[in-house]
Amino acid sequence: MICKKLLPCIALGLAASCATFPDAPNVALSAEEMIEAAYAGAPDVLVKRAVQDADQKLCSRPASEKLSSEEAERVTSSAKASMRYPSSGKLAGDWKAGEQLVSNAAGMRIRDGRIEQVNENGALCVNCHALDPKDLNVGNLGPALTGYGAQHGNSDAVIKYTYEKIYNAWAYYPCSNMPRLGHNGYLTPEQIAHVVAYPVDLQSPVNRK
Amino acid sequence: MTCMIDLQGFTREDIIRDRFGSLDKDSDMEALVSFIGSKSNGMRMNVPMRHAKEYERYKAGEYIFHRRAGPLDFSCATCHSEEGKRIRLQELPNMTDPKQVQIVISTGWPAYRGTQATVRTMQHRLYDCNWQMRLPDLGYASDMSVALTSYLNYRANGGVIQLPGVRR
Ligand code: HEC
Ligand code: HEC
Repeated sequence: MICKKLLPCIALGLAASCATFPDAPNVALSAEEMIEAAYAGAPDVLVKRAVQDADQKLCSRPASEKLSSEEAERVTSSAKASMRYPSSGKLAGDWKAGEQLVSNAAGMRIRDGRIEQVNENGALCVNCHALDPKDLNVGNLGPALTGYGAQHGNSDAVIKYTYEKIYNAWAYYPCSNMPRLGHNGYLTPEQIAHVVAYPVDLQSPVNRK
Repeated sequence: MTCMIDLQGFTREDIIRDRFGSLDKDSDMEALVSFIGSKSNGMRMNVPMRHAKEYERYKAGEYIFHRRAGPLDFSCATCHSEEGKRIRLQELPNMTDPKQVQIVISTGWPAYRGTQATVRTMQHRLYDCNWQMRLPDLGYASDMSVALTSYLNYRANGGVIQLPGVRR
């Protein structure tokens, strides 16, 4: 039983009088039980995906409940500590390989207990960002990146920032809506290097007028 | 579903097997939900919040809506809490805005989905978003899905019901 005391909570309009009912830890407890039950029957490796890490937990508050500066610091420093780079040391690869990846949104989806079969996970960028100015089938959850290289240049610093942003976006923006694609093992460091080249390389369509 | 199982003799397995239709076979559940939903047409959404259990479910729904998990760190709020956002060209309702929740709930679901050439229920919509989140198959009529639905439905109160809806 989650609520030991049944307060006469008539409506949410009276929320102030029942602010502690049920309290946040009990809400979390009962919700977590529901989540576990909703995925019961799926293989363990898949159920594990629904288990939160410490940073996901911190990043699960409604927008009205801001992180304290210590909490934000915790998220960014754990993101910085997560960085891994390609063994070649090259953080920008082939923009043409990157171009294939940015508009590919397939990978890791589960239907009837089975993971979809793909050669490699796509990078999903175009779901959230404009990149090639000629491509209008683009999302806007993130800022437009058209002309990114033309605007920021292709210095080592820009390349490193772009690589790290994709590897773990929370290093620069705690709890950003951008997924931590490298950290979560969704993209490999080599794939990320190809994706970096796409906005940064001045030959790429992103930087053409 | 409780009445179907307790009074009418259906099994949970029967219902779940038939939960979503395919091009070859329509789903009785999808038909039933559409029929029952349409019986409230013209009325206003009026979800009660009197019982402790109702409130508990609502709060759990709110918690789950904001809970980030999975290999893409998504929560429902990632895609549904800002104005004018899109995934590619698919417009995302901002479900922090009560007016938009009203449209989604009272005139949205169940919906005829053009891309699927059939009527789909809210259970299917939640299953689909959960699939995009790379999480395991969301249990049909699971408490988790009911909590999310309670959270949305209560916040849609006042919306005039006109169902089934039409969606892409
Ligand atoms: C689910 C949506 C989403 C996806 C997928 C996504 N991003 Fe982002 N991205 C965002 C959001 C939101 C921001 C703004 C907040 C921030 O800086 O983290 C952002 C910010 C960025 C920035 C920083 C922009 C700047 O001016 O500093 C870069 C660069 C970027 N994304 C590149 C990418 C690339 C490349 C991909 C594909 C590998 C990608 N993003 C995938 C949502 C997304
Ligand atoms: C990666 C982004 C993403 C996430 C995360 C996501 N959704 Fe969605 N959702 C969508 C898209 C895309 C649509 C379809 C919008 C359209 O057709 O224009 C949609 C549609 C919906 C609709 C129907 C909206 C309407 O206009 O009728 C509901 C309800 C909904 N989502 C609820 C949820 C819930 C609850 C969650 C969390 C369990 C969730 N979504 C997570 C992308 C997302």
